[in-house]
Amino acid sequence: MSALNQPTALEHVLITTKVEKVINWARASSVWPMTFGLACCAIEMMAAGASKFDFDRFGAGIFRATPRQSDLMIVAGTVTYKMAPVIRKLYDQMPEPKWVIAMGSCATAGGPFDSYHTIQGVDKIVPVDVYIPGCPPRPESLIYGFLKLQDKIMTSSIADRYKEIFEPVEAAS
Amino acid sequence: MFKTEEMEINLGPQHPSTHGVLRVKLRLDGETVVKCTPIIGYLHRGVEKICEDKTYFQGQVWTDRMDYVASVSNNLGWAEGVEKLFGITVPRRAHYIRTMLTELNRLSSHLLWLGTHALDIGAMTVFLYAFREREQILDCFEAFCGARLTTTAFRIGGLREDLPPGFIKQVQAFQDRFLDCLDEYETLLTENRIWKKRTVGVALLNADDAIALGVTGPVLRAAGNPYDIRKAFPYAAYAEMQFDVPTRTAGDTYARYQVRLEEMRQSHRIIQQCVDGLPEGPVMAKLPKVLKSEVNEVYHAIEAPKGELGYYFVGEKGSQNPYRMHVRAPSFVNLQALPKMTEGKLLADVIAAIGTLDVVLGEVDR
Amino acid sequence: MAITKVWIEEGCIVCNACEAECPDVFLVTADSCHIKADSRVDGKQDENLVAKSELKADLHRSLEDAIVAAAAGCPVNVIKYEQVANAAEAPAAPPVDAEIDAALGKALGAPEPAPSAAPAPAAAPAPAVVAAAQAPEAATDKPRITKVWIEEGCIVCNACEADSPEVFRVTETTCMIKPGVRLDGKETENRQEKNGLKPEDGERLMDSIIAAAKGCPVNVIKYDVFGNVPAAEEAPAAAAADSGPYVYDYKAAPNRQVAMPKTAPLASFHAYEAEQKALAEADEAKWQKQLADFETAKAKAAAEGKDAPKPPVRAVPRKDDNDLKFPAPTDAKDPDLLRLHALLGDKVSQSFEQAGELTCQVHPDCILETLMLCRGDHELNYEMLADQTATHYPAAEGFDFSIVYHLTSIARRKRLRLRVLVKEGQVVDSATQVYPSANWMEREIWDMLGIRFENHPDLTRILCPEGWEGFPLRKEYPTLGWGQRDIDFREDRAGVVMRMAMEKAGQMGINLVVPKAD
Repeated sequence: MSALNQPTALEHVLITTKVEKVINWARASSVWPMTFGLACCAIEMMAAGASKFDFDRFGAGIFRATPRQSDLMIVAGTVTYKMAPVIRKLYDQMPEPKWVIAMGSCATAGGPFDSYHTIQGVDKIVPVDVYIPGCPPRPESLIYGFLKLQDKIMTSSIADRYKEIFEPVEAAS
Repeated sequence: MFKTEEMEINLGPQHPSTHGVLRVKLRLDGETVVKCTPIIGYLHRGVEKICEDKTYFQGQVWTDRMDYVASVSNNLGWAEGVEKLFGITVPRRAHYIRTMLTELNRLSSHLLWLGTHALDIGAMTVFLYAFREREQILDCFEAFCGARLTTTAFRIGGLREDLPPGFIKQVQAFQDRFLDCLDEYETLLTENRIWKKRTVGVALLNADDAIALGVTGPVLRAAGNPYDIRKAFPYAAYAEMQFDVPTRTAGDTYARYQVRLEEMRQSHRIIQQCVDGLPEGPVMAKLPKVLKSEVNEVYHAIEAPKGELGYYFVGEKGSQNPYRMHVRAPSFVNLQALPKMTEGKLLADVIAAIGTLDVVLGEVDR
Repeated sequence: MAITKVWIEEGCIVCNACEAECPDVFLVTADSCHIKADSRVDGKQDENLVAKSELKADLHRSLEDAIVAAAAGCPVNVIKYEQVANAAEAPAAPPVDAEIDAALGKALGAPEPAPSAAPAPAAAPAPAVVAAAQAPEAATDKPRITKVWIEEGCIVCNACEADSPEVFRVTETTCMIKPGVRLDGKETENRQEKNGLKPEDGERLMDSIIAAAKGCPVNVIKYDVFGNVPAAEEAPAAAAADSGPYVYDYKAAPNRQVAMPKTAPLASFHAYEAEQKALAEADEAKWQKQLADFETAKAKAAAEGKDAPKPPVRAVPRKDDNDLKFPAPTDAKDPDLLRLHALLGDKVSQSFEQAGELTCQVHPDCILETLMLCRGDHELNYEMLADQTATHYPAAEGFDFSIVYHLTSIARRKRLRLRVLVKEGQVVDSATQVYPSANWMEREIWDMLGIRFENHPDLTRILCPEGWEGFPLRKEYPTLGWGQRDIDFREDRAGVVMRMAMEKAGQMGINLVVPKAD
């Protein structure tokens, strides 16, 4: 190994990186999901959090009962006409930064329930970051989807996020 | 002078202990519940309407997603209801396999109830223990039909395929350790002082009220009435099975806990009988490819983990679809008893009452 | 179109299918299938393979559909027939498709077919041309479907028959184009022959055929169109997307079509009995006629000194080899039903047993009295109302809904179904006074079917939100609803992200297509 690649004494104790990267790393490693079970997928979400699959390994095991302490809304189940305003309200109550996973085909596109009272996909109510197919998805699928969300968080830019949220507000005022 | 004022609060539709999207409007005087109004429909997906557009073969898929905790029971109700409508005779082996799977499903449903009910009341550990065994049952379902929850396990007239190789061994492995697991749960809860304080004498419902309100299942049996459809109107292979119907007379949350635990032991007994006495033979009746019904109406009820699960079909002459399909969902009817169980009691006991009724909102709203 | 001759080739497997389709012509005997004597000009009864005797003139048209269906349904394809376009014409060679197409093209003023094909219509004695020319003029210049056929790969899903029952008929293995709409009157998949549709049907059924082709999950329904197809209504959605936040005006949404039921399937012992009796009588009359015919034929043969004809064999209904046995209703014998009848008298309109279930239909005015009896009478003692629901019968005469009550006697292990028939707008006494469990069930019936109950403590919607429009389980209510579900809450954030993406794409020179609002 050449001398150039040897870490200097300083690099043994210091790591240089960008602030953004540190913040993203912190955010991605402790995403707190909201306990938000709607239907069948909620049972698989519970299974993912329970003994065999242990969602906590990825820093997402702390299910919070209130939206005000959550970063992630896992929409696990069918969204109906009566429930839609509630979901929107809960989403609005979550603090920034916040993410949404549409778990299962009902939340993604209505699933098998092509009927009068079912909203065909939660993306008509809230913006969705990750869609997970399956009816219901296995806990492994949920974990995979969550890892995808972590990738997304790691590559996001704080400046862009600021812009996308506050620019329209500033422009309006 | 102080003045008291009644207060109205909403429990749900997003609340961790309402098991889904149940909303309960509570009028409180201090901490005492004056009026309790359950509001449902947040998961109404129009299953009955959808099934009118589907053939008898297709419709079973939607029954999985009603009581998603006990989908095999739902499948059984649908399949047997349709078989009654057409007058189909199912082979005996298929009946045995159906019985075995339904009882496995009753175990998984009761385990989920035990875990979440204990979690609501404050005992976290049981949840992790119960889910450990539940995963083993789901693995059996997966081996049988490829799905963990939404099984669509049966076909009209029997089963699509016979048991996969190694399935009996897998079930036996679960059987061998399950009774020890049940003892483990009992050591955690049965004599636990906190558990008893939260459950004994809470959410009382006597047998007369329960029958008047149509409440069935473990809730009725914990009030002293041994009404179990498996015994009263035997279906599948239950007529050939030896099992007891556990009852208690207290009619409180603790009695329901005891009844359900005892039911799990009885289910274990039934599964063992199915495994030991599994007859040989075909698993599917001979049927035409297209089922066209005659004018007929049937109501077929089975004992789901939550209570009486009834399917009502109206068949139209020459049609492949049910003219009308209605589900008598046990959770829907049992939930009517919530005001009776909670009014005049403390707010904290509402959580115990919802948990002990064991409602699944997918079935309440359909 | 008419059928002049029909005969059976070698190889009949005595399957009874043809006799089921067309009992007036075919008679299945022990070893073969015969063309019946009374349908033939020569009055003999055999396979008609050698003689090729003509059918009687009055049967040429009347039995055409049945014979075609029988030939199509024959599993070994031994039924052959000769078909002519016009019965009045002498039996000529059946017109081939090219002729019909050419003739149609002429009649419709379409471009002349290629010259090589031209001589054919001129040479043929043109019954088809006559038929086409008789088609109403108005039908000719409008857009229409000229042909429709089914490619390989039908999965027998029944979707096309639901969309367009007049054109498609789904059998057990494939989908057929019905003879009624085709020029040649055959029933096949129309894959090879690509026979044309009747012009008036092609125009009338255009929408439904296009819908069926679009709805086909494997896209095997193909069709040829003449003229312009009206464009699908995409314009309003695009316009809505342009003007600010997207709000779906569901009142203006096209009302989705609902196929209303044609029958009211009400299980009833009387109806079943009458139907069975009529069937038995028809069967007996047919047999007596056969016997009489045989006697006359025998007497005639004896008079003429010929051999006596074969005695007729009574057709035995084909026994299906499966585990299916329809549970037929039987008259009420159960003591509970008899007791109810004794207590209520004339108020019971019918009571019967079917599939081990007891049904008692009572007059709607006395339902409360009946429920009280069922609960209070010491011999009946039905403690629990397990289920209460209703069904909508728009095609029924004299009533619109049936309400059923499923009662359970826990002590006596019995179930009883009470049924009342009510009209639209009729108010029924609530069962809550007798059985408190009826509370939510009646709310559900009001919510889903719109039947009101008197003296109910709180008759409000239960599953659908307050202010919901329509009653979903009524038959005229489409499964997809009237557009209520198409709500859209996307605003600020999603809109901003979209705009930013567009801007960025524009800077990078990428032509991004705006996704439609919905």
